[in-house]
Amino acid sequence: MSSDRKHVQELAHLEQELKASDLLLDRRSREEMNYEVMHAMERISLGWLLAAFVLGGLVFLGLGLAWAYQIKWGLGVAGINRPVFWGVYIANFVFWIGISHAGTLISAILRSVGAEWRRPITRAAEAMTVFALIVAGIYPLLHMGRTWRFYWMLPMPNQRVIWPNFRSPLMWDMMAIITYLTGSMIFLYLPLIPDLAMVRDHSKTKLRKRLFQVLSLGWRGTEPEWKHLHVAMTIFTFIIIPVAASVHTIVSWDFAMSNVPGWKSTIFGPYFVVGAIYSGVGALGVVLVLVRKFMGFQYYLRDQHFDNIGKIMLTMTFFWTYFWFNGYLTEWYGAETALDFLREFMTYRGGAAPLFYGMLVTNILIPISLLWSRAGRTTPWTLALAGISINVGMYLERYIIVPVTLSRNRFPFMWGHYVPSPVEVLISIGSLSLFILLYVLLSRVVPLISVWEIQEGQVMHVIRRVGQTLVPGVIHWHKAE
Amino acid sequence: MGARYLALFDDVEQAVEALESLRTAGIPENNIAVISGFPVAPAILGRPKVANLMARWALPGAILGLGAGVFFTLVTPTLYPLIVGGQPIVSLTPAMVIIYEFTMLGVILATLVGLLAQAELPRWREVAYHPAISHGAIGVLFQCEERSLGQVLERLNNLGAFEIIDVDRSEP
Repeated sequence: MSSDRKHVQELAHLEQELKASDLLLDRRSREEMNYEVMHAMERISLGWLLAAFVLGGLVFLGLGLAWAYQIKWGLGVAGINRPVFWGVYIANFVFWIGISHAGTLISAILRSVGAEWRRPITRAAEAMTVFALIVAGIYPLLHMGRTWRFYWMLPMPNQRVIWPNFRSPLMWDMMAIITYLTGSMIFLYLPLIPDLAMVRDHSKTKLRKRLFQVLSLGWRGTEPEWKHLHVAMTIFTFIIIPVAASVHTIVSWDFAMSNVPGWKSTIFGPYFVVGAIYSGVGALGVVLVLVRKFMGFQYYLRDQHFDNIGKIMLTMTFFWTYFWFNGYLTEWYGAETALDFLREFMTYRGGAAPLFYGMLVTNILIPISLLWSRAGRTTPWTLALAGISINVGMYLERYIIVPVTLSRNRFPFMWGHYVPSPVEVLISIGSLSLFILLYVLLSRVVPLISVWEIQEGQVMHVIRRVGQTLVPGVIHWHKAE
Repeated sequence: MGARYLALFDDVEQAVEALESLRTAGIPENNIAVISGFPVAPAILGRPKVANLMARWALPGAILGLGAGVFFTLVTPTLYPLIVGGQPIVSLTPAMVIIYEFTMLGVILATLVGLLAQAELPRWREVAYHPAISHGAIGVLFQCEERSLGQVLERLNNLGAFEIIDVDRSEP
């Protein structure tokens, strides 16, 4: 074999390797991608029906029956009692707000820095934010007990001559969540419009055509439509980042503005934001693995995406560890008596020690062990396991912050013991099921992969021959002025 | 006023040549539009830039949001004064949190309204479209006088248009 022919063969092999490693270099026709994504959307399998049915049942059991029981008999059916007035409802609220953080925030950060690999993952991430916020929003209503009095939080003239207290962190919370939910829903919807138009164009039934005609707002893809969409997305990208940061900071202030030992901490704001991103990225990893597996999106979600998500998870592991240790060390060094009580309860042979050490193992040890190597990050089940471990750890962290901290205070005669009641457990299971159910339903209503963004990326990415080898290149033709 | 036609091409290069051909045929730029399933920069198509006034929407949104935040946190509590423990009913420091959130909400809503207004969405009845566009085809929409129509259509066919639709006579 001549050396020239051998070199051509090597280049062909290299080209295949480059294509396999990067979705944007592995070009497919738009038509092919459209049909693949639509096929996954329109396929109603027995497994899907069963999953929807079981999840729907759990939602009914938790958020239907258990909540109705609590409304009938009052908040006394929950396990909360003096001094632990905030239990799993608030821990769950903080947890779900945290989950909501990776979606929109990660998507916005990746968009703002022009990370090209983001294209197939942003929609799944943004949907996660919206659903997690919906679930989180249920918990303050649950925790109120008299849920029907929710409207007292709204500023409207009334005969009661009372007005919402805008100086309260709880009001800040409500405003922040409304802003973030509004922004996240629009942030999810805007880049979805061109794909909804695609579904409208190629749906087979009249009903679907009409539905997607409405949802796509009559989008055609004219020059002004693309231009204005691009500018609007740029504005949203830079607005949603500080809003997301504010939301979890404000959630932390629900605690930090009090005088409760273990809550009053100046690091709580950034610590909560880091924790939120950490748990959110973990959840995103799990969601992407499941979407790939059950929607058959092996072409779109590849090693490169899992590797990058794994790297973000690993980075956030170190960030979270640093922030946690910073807070812990400062309080330990201060040796305040009330905090010593709390630490004794959490460490050594204290009652909450399994939770505390469990948090450290699942939040630090397991993720680092699984994600330190590329092989670990690019193996879907390993990545999913790391994501689950992180979320177990972050849930334990929230549980420690809320009921465990409240159970130990300055006066030993006022200490309490908290165990979640069956009603609280059922409601927690119901809310988790609601999150999964919303995702399962969404997967059959809208394309979970942003096809137009992938096509845009594939048009921009090329394999070029430079000297004796092939290299991937990007033509930023969307920036051409 | 001539008839409107939509010529469909498989790729951007063909569309660019078609646009050049339409200009050569004397069709003014404002009688031409490009419709695509993914964004193509005007410079690539040799088309004039699209003016964008989104900032003019976002900024008033921010000001309105800020005003609403100030109104709710600093004005309305005085309408329902509830003094507890001698604490002031109006305080600027905690009010800043709500004012910030209202300002952001104002920008978010105004940007959405600005997008819909500028892109003229929603638009329910528009026949100048073809489903092949969302399959990746590039559509060149143009308005042409009857006398030069035959020549223009022939040129577009030669440049690779796989379909040319008489928009005003086609079914919506």
